[in-house]
This record gives sequence, structure tokens and C-alpha cells, in this order.
Amino acid sequence: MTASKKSKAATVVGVQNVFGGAGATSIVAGLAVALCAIEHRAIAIDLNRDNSLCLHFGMEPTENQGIISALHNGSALLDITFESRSGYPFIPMGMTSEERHISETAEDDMDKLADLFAPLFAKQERFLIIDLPTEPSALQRWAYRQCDLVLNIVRPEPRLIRGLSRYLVDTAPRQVDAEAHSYLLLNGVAPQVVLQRDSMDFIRGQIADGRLVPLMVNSDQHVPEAFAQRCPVRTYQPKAQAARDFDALALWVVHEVAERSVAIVEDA
Amino acid sequence: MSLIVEQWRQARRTLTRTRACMHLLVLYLEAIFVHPGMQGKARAGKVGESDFTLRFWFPHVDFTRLRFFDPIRIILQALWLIFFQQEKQTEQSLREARAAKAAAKKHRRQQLVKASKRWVSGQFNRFATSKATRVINQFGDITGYAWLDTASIRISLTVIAALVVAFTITLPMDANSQAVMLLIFWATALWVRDVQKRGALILMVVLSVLVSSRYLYWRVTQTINWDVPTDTALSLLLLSAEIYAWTILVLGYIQTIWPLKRKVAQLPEDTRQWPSVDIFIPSYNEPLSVVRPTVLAALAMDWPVDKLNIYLLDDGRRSDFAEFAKSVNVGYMVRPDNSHAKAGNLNHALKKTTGDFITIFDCDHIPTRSFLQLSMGWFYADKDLALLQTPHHFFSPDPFEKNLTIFRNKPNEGELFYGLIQDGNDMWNASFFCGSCAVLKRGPLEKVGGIAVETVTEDAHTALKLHRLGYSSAYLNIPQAAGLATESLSAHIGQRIRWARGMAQIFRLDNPLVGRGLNLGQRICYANAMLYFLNGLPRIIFMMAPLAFLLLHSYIVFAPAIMIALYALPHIVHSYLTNSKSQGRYRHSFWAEMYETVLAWYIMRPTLVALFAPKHGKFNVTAKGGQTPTSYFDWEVSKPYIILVLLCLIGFLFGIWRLLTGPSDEYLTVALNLLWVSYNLIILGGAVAVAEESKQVRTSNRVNVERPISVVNATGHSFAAELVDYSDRGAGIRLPLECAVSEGEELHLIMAEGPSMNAFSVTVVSRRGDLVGTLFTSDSHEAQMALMRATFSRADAWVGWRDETVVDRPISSFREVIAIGARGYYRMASNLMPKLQPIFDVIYRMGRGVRSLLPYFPGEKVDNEFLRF
Repeated sequence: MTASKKSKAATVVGVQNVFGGAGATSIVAGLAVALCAIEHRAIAIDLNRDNSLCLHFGMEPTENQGIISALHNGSALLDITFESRSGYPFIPMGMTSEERHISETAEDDMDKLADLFAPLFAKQERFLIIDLPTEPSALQRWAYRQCDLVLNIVRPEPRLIRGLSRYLVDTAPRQVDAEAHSYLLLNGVAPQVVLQRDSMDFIRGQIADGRLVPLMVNSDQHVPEAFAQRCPVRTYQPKAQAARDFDALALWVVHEVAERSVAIVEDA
Repeated sequence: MSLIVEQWRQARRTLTRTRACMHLLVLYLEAIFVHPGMQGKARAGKVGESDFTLRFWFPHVDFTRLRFFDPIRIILQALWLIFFQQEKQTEQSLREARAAKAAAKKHRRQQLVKASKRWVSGQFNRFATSKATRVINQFGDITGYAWLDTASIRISLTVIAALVVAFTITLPMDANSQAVMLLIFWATALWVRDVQKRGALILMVVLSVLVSSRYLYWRVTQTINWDVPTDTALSLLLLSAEIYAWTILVLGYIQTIWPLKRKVAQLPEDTRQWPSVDIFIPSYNEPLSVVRPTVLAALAMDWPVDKLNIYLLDDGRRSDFAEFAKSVNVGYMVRPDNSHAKAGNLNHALKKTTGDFITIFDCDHIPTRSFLQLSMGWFYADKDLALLQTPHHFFSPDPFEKNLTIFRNKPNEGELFYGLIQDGNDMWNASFFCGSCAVLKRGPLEKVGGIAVETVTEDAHTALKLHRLGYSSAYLNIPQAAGLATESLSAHIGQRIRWARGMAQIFRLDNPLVGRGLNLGQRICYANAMLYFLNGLPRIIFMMAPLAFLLLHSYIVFAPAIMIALYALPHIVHSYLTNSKSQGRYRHSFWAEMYETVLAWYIMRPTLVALFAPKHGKFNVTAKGGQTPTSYFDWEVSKPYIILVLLCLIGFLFGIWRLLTGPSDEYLTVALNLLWVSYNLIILGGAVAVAEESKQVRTSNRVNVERPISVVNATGHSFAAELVDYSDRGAGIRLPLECAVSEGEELHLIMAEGPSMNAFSVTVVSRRGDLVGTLFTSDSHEAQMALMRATFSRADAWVGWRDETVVDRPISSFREVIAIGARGYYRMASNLMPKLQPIFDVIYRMGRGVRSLLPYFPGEKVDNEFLRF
């Protein structure tokens, strides 16, 4: 699945909200930082038009450099790759003053995007963690094709009923068609809340075991506070449970990717 | 030079002039002789923090703070290291040796032309060494000898072996030949001691049995003084005790020669084929707080709900029990009378229920959720199986562990039985039923008329009856339930009196050596289990024996002292070496003596009574789950031992007197008897030490663990924390200092349960540093069951409870037993005469000082107490 099928060397992990506000951007930041902490070279990449991932890494809200500016001005990948104060690399989506965005229909832009990322995808032993757009678009389709696995983020709350059915009927098949492994990840879990426990039971009833990531990210006030401080949770409060959850998630991702590549070698 | 000045200044910052001088001296010596690479480290290291390699070889000497006796310690240790201590051959050292050999080979090849003579000799040495190493490593590997396994070869080998053994045992020898033969035996035993192969153990057992039998043969044929009637009587008394000890030794070897170590068997995939199980929880007078967790954990077991029936069998007929049973929806049974105690209670329930299998838990034995899934598989693998027993595991300290503060450090009293003996029994299809944590098949159980009621140890007798009908039994050594140990020494003794009496009753009423249905192995295992409990009288005889000579000047072993030493010492040494090898992981050397001595006096009378009048005696219930509000010395319990101690002390003084005034040809005899009586005094001291009951103030025992959890506070901040202990009422957690909590604050503890999470609300009751004490606040049965699943009834709750890989080292064990003995005397003396406490303090500390001079194994952990001298 990894290198051979997608003709690229890096491992690409997509993260997408099943419904708005489920916490995909925080997961991308947390996961990338945790991977770096266990000595893997990971870069967080934002493909969301609200361009908020960069705020997790301490970028000024007024800064607008990023993928969009690179596509329109022709700047190189290196120009839009930033590093947080603690040394974590990330690529923001960026903004343009003319309110222009990546065209949702034009495949031209996708080709440009592919060219832009080609050198990064060719690098071995890299983890690229992408914050995927929630709504279907050419950009999302392109991104799915790049991903080895996609984590679909869901919060245990009543909204999940709609989100889950849309995921099962529409999103998951599209991800699988693009040869990406589709997983659901529970975020913001607070087992002390009865409604949450019921929601988790509901999810377990709906989703086959293999599709649910066997760990979850706990609800933790440290996450929004870290965001407000514009730094990763690990930097803001290393003892926070959320930081440990991201560590566990990073280990799981590394293990999962390794398992898959072994399986592919055996198939071959 | 300036460097030395700088180091001097640095040392002087924290040390006095003399200490700084010593410190630097040791530092330089170390750098020069032990570890030339240390110089850099010494320069960089802070004073007092350097991690010396000298510390490895001299674990009891603190080179940064040398004390008055340290020179003696250093000299003794160095002598011991040079002349006695051998390096253990481990995998690591073997690998290193191999690598070193390879390097040496390469080096020698380069030197080939220059020094061919040396090369030849090197080659020869290497060949010889590798040959010897191979022989040791292949020892006991029987895979290549399958061709020997035919009936005729077996019979002829047995006959030849029997002849050789008979010859070896009976051959008369003079002192020199005897010494040479025993030295060869001893050397062989020491040679194979560290070989981790079954054959090595078998060889050691054979040597031990040979030496002991030879000793006994010599004792019977040559050492009885028939001329003086009192001597004859005393002599025969000692001889009978020795014959008993020899019997137990040999039976014990056979019983544990090849433990089966059964693994878990698979259940059918389809849960519809799983059988129905009735769980019986009998109770008589235990409080509900003890019984509640057991019932909740039984409810939480992973088994199809429609096939699991739980019954609370209440012989106390208490209304709160009935209410509780109703509220959690389990069966509640009472009966018109309490005939036959627990056995009668179980039999009553047996008649009223219909499940295919019966599982029995004592009311304080909390099962893990996996109990049934792990244990039921064997009933499918073996259709004749009628009984499966699992170990009794205790999460609270027994009186020995509590009063000697050795909880979870040392193997406890029960570990030998559940760790080794039951696995050994299983090999002979003779696993016993132990009354709780076991599964019984209904059909066979009804065939033997239910649980046996003829004796007070209904469990062992029931198993015996099942075995007589040809059913098999199994033992699965995975702790799948845990309970409370007896809380005080007197309660412990009470329980053991019941066991001893019951076993003696069975021995009389349904003797396993005769009657139908048992195979030889089963007869041996049962006989050993029952005879073992008759050890009261022999042990007292052994305690008193040296006094016969010291006080009465009676020669109860009528032989020259040198011959006694040559026969008796090898017998003792071999049995210690062999037992240390076979049981060392489950019971350390010399501890058995202490455990048995404590009970000896108390079980002597009931077992003798039961042997002669087996129908006497009643069932006494073991008290559990209580408190000991203050420490106290149990004079009542230790009275017999104090009398024995006084007798031994008088004997000891007489011995000294005889040494000073007696004829010179008696010196060796007196010395031997003095040694014997000193050993008895040490062991008796241990027995006395246990009688001081340490206080226990918590009503529920905490289980220590190290498990990651998370803690959520009122503001929604979640912290990664660690669960350090729990009980059914509260938990101790290690919480990062970043998480500020105050007393009375509400927190949520989040614990994983398989793939999901559970939250438990708690109140903070204390905080000290990063340790926070909490009490659970959720009352609902649902919450309590979730709590059980997250704590006591986790499948892995009792896995890795104590590090069992620690091997027994007789010399360390002996040091521990001496320490315990000394503590016993100290406590007894200060309880008797509190005013003289300061004097006892001084004597005690002197004793500890002397003990601290003994050599240590390199790298051994040393009790910090010693470092004060």
C-alpha cells in the first residue's frame, strides 16, 4: 500500500472531521508533534481553507503564506515550509488577499499541487500528516489518492448519528476507492459523562471492530488552552493526558504503517 | 597537580578533612586498580555521587563514607571473593566468553608464526574447556536416549540400579573413605547445581537420597546405645523422628520431581456449547463488606449470562445479606441447620441447583473476570476430569509477611504448595481440591455423595474420593482469584490446626496408602500431604535432641563425633542443596524451618489426637478482614517457644561449661551439639519474632500496582497519572504536581477496560507530594461492578505479583533467618523488661554489626540499616 502502490516514498496520513468541529486540526498538530518526539520525521500539512493548523504551531494569524500563495506565485515548497519555535515543521494552507482559493473543479490546480509536493512525497522515511477538507472536492479527491491511511475524527455526541451514516455511505467508500485505509478515531472522550458513554456504545454497535482505531483521545481542557497559547499541547503541558494520547496514537500509526508494508511485501 | 588541588577543594566543600582524604584515596585506588577509564569520570563526578564499580564487589561498603569496621569487611569480602565465590555462568557470561574466545583465536592466528608452541598449548586448552562446557550444557538432555525406553531395558536397569543403591547405602567404610566418597558426591551436586535441566535436578535428588539413606542405615545399624535404658529410649525417639524426616524428604522429592505446569485449554468457539455453571459463595460470619466484592466480581465474570448462576449461601442467616443478594439479583440460600459447616452448606446448595459445573469461592476470594474462560477448557480436553483447582492468591499479607515485613519480597508460606507442589501433584494426576477457586463437575461430585463431611478438611477428602472412582483432577497455576490472608498469627495457627487435624483424620479414616482406585503416584502424593502435617512431634524432638547430651549427658547418637559429622552433615547439606534447587523459587532455604517451628507445638496435639480418635474435633472458621489497632506481643501464642528457648539457653550454658571443664575427647561432641542448639535458637527466635503483631489500621487492604490512568479535575483538565494502589473503597494515585488538588475535591479517575474507558468519581482525602489518596464516591452497584472490572477482577490483576525469577541463595537466606531470629529475641526482651531497652538496643546493634561483616554477593542489594555501622 505505501510506497509501491502510490509510487511515493513518504507515508501520508490524512485526518478529516466526520462533522464540523470534531477536532481534526488539533489531532494533526498533536500527531505530528508526537511523531517528531519519537524521532520520526513528520510534517503537518494543512489543506483546509480556514488555515488554522498554523496557529497550533505559533504562526501569527496575520501571516498568509502557504500552499495557496505557492500555487499562485509559483514559490517553492521550501518557502512555505515553516518551523515552530520548538522546531516542529508544518506547511500552512495560506490565504490570498483576492479571496482566491484552489479551484474546486480545475484539475490544473491539482497538477500544480502534485508538482509542488512531488519532492516531499519522494522523500523516504517521512510522515506527512494532512488536515483534509471536510467537504467533497477535487482537492479532497486528490488528497485521498495520496493518503495511505485516513483517520476520520468523531466526537461521542448526538451529532454523530448523522455524521456516522454519511461517513459509512459516502466518505468511507470514497476513501477506500482511493486505496486509502479508512479508520474512525474517537476524540474528546469524557467517560464520566453518561451521554458520551452511550454515544460510544452506539458507535461500537455501528462500526466493525477493524475500522475503529483501538485507542481514543480524551477530552482535555489543555487542548483548547494550548491552541489559545498557539503552541502544541506537548509544549503547553507535557503531563496532560491529551499529550499522552497523541503519543499513543503516533505509536499506533507507526505500527499500522509497518504492518501494512510487511503485508504488501508478502503479497508481492 | 592543580587538578588534585581542585579535586581536594571540591571534596572539602561537603566532607571533613579526614573523610575528604579517604574519599580521594579510594577514588584514586579505584581509578588505578579497578577501572582505569574512571579517571575522567572521577574528575567530572560530584563528591558523594560517584557510582563506583568497587560498590559492585563490596556492596556493603560505602566508600564515600568509610566506617570503623569497614577494613574488616573489605578483608573478609576480598578473601571470600578470591577463595569461595564463583562467578555464576549465565547466558550473558557465556556469550561474552564466546566472543572473548573468538577474539583470542583471531589474535593467536596473527601470532602463529612467532609463537607456534604457545598456539598449540592454547588450542589444547580451548579444546578441553569447550568440551567441559558442552558436557555441562548438555547435561540432563534425554532426547537422544529414547531407545532406552522399552520394558525389558527399564526393568533390567531398575534391578541394576537397585543393587548399586543397596550396595552404596550399606557399604561399611572408615572415616577417610566415607569423607572421600561424600566429597565426590558433594562436588557432583555443586557441579550440576546451576544447570537448568531436569536431569541435573534428578541427579541431585538421587545423590541426596543416597546420602540420606546411607546416613539412616548407619544410624539404625550402628548408633543405638542398647546398654543404657534411658539413652536407648531417647535414642529411639530421635531415630523415629529422623525416619519420619527421611520419609517426608523422599516422598517430597517424588512428588515434585517433574511439575506438569499445565497450560490453558481452548473452549469451543461456539458459546452455545459452553456448559452452565453454578457459583457457590458460602459464608458464615464474615461481614458484608468482605463478601460484597466477591459477589460483584462473580457477576462480572465473562460467561454467557443465561449459563451463569450465582448463589450466596448464608449460614449466618443475615437479613442484610438477603437484601444485598436481592438487589444484585443473585440467588440467596439458607438452610434449617448448620450441620457439617461449610461442607454441609455446599451440599445443601448442591441439591437445590442443576448447573453442569460447580465453582466454589470462599466468600473473600474475589475472582477475575477470566476465571471460567481460562479454567473450563480442560473439561472438554479431558472427559474424565472432575476437578480443576487454581491457586489461592492473597492480596493481603499473612501474619508472617505482616509481622516480619516481607510482603511481596519473599515467597510466602503458601507459595511452595501452589507454586510447586500442586504442579508436582498434577504430574501424578493427584491435584488436590483446596476448598475454593476450583471448578467441580456435578456428575462425579454427586457420585461421591457431594462434598465429604467425615473430616474437617472436606476439600482434600472430596478429591481423594473422586480419585478413588477413577476421575482425574487438574491444577492450573494461574492466579484467577484473590482473597484475604489470615490476619493474625493465632488465627493462622487455628486454621493450620484444622488442616492438620483434618489430614490426620483422613489418614486414619480413608488411608490413601490402602484401598482401591488410586495409582502409586496418587498414593505417594496423598500420603506425603497427610504425613507432612504430623511434623509437630518430630520437630519438637529435633529441637530438644541436643539438650539430651548437653543437659543429661546422654549419648543419643552412639558414635564418635567425627563419624556423626561425616554422616550427618552431608545428609543435611545435600538435602538443603537439592531442596534449594527444586523449591528455591517458591521457598527460600531455612524459611521452612521457621514456618514449621511456629506451628509445631500447636499441631502436635490435635494430629496425635486425630490419629488415635479421628472422630473428635470440630470445624473452626478462619477470621479474616479485621484490624489490629495497635502492635502487641502475643505472649499466649509464643509461650511454648519461650519455654523451648529457655531450655535451649540452659543447654547452651551447660555446653559452654562442659567445654571448659569436660574431658578433651568430648570437645567435638560438645561443639557439634552447641552448633545444633545455636541453630535451633536462631529458628526459635524467628518463631518468636512472628508473635509480635504489627498494627493494621485499614479495614480494607490496598493492592499495590503500577498502572497508567488519567485524572480529570473539575475544570475539565485531564492529566496522565498512575494508579499506585487500590481497594474496594479507595485508590492511591501518583498525580503530576502540575495538577493542583485540595482535600475534599472531586476528581474523576479514568481507567481502561479493554477497548473502552470507565470513569470513577473520587474525593481527595490527602495529598503528599505527588501522591494523592482518594476514596470512591459512587455507590450504585453498576458503578461498583465497573470498579471491580477495572481493579480486582481484571484478568491480569495478579499476574507478575512477585518476581519469581529470583533464585534462592542459601547463604543470603540464612543471613535473613538469623536477622529475623535476632529481631525476635530483641522484641521479646524489650517486651519483657522495657526498662532495660537501652541495653538490649546496644546488644542488638552489636549483633547486627557482627552480621554486617559477613560477605555479600557482588552486586547484591544491601539493607541500608547495615550501612550505619
